[in-house]
Amino acid sequence: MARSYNGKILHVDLTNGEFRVEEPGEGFYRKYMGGSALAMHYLLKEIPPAADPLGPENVLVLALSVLTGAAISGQSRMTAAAKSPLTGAIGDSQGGGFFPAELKFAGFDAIVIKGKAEKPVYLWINDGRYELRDASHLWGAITGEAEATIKEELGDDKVEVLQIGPAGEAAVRFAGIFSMSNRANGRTGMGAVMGSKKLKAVAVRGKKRPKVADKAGLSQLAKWGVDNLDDSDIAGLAKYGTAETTGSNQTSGTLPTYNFNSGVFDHWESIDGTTMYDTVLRGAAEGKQDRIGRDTCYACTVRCKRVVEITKGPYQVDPHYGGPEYETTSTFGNYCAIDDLPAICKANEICNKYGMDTISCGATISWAFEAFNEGKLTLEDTDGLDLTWGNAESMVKLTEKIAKRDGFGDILAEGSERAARKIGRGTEAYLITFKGQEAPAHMPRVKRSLAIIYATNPFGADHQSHEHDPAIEGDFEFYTERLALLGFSEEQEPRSLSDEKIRFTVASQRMYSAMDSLNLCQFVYGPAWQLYGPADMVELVKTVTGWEDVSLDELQRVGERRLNMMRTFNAREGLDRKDDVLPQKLFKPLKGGVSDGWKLERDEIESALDKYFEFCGWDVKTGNPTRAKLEELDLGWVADQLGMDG
Amino acid sequence: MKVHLQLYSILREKLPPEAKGKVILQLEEGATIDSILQEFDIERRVVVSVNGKYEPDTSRQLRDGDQIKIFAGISGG
Repeated sequence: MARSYNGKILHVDLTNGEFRVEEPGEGFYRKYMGGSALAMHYLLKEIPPAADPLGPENVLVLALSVLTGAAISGQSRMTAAAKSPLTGAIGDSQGGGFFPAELKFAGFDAIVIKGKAEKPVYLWINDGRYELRDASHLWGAITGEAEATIKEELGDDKVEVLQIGPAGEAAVRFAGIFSMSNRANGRTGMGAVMGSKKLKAVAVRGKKRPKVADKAGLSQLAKWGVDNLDDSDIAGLAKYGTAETTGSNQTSGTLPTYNFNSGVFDHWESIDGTTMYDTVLRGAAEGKQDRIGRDTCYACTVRCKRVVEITKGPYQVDPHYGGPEYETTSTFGNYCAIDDLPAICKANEICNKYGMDTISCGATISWAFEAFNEGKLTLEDTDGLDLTWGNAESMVKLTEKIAKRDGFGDILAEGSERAARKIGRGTEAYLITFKGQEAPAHMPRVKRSLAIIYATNPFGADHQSHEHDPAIEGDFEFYTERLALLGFSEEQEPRSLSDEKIRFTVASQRMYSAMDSLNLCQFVYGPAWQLYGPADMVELVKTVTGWEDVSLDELQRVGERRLNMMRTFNAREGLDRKDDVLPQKLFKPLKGGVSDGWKLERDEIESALDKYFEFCGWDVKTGNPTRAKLEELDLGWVADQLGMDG
Repeated sequence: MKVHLQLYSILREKLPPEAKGKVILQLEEGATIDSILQEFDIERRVVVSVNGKYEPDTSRQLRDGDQIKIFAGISGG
């Protein structure tokens, strides 16, 4: 039977330069499907307990899915996973572009990387062949330069390069892994792990297209997406970018401002997606931005990626480094009360050049802004940078100082939680971290299920790990058909944490977890407003793999399996419910706008957490999976490995 | 009565490009936000503010001089 996957996993030990190719059977692929769940299989097996995240014993997995490389929108994505140097727990991040599809074409479904090279190297995979090459001359280079050099020395401009920047080399704890110099596996510090192994890059080129089981069926499904994009809820996101949501978030009081002290930003219109489209996208001056100011991932019709070009003024921006997402306009913008869009684009460019996560970087800076404005940091601490709210120039300078671990930037390169611990003076009160990871730009005091997910998510605060509240609150009427497939038929009250809301949170978390294992884009596929719904997702898996009996239930179980493996990994590291805590700031009222006065209540959160763990089938007291649950998910080997009681 | 309407993102394409999403509408007394959504054939999920305040109730009656902003946009991301 034709296979949509290569059936090959490449293992690399950088300590001795040895390779091994593993060829798992179909059962393995059916059980994990790829991406994050597949990565967890290897991380649980190969990372010893209490490993140093930046030591050779940590293992970095880059993983694709059984769908990657199929000719349809939203499938060219890849998981990077390892133990996180930011959180000390499991690390996981997703990224898109052309690299994921090209790795598939080059002959592998995943790369499992362990050990540490003596000197910098890069991995070159060319149509099933592989080798480590010297990267000493690339060490220290920014992403754009390293990418160009690698392509030149391999003599092929179509080589796709995944790499770390100087921030990853310098173990900035929120360094990411980048392809195209602008697509990031940004979160949880996977770039620092790659840097600790002295692995500068992975370059891939291949011609082996996956064998799709039902080509006509896939073509029909892909065409449906093309035909329906303009009438879908993601039409605006496609044309105006994810920052199109700035205005609606402002209006509903969920635009994090002044480091999460307020849900509204008076100057939001200066930094929103419509303004970005009209002013700084490449070609905007000539009205050509639709053609040359938007970019895409392999085979994707959506074209949501921004390409910013600024040639005049204090913040000139090179289009090679892309443009900011909503998360980035928020962390460098409204978090810090900054309304200077070119400055935000510049900070985004610096992050992409040096290889840093824009969420943790911007949020760490906003923590420093609040500490400065509250008098807990002085000019002496900040190397003379005035961090008064709204100071764009200082924000850009601080971003660069973090990337270079220069002065005050060296402290912030450890992330806001470690910085607060080092500085003290009560600055812990300004943190917005969960398990040490800074919160993305969605507010738990407004969308309350986020409080539960941010707190319990195995890899810290994450906004792409479940469906946010509006889908089952005010927007419910638009998505009844899709949500019914997941078993939901009742609209819930705004800001409720009802049992039904928690049940929805768990179910949608499993679906997002399945998507991170299938490596599907969560704008293109999902349970509600996305281009394709749950039924389409099942159809996609059937069409591509030929697994005729696959069901939504089976996909949900893949998602559940991944979450159980992650949570068990954390349990092995000593984490449990006591670590599922929210920053104290969220229990204080927001100021201004429609969300003025809104806050979380501790009793309500604890009750909701009880219910969440109950719906997960986990031990409510510890919040950890039980042997019975692991066995139910065909993960008895995980329980055995941990020596769990029967 | 007259109201000031601003449409954002993909919704502004309901108006000629030179309008940049802004228009003054002449409405009959008793008109509601729903009346505007119907007039512009907007059937999707939107977020609306009236005079700078969030208005989740689209059956709300409008008044002369109201400033209305309508956003498309997804709820996650």
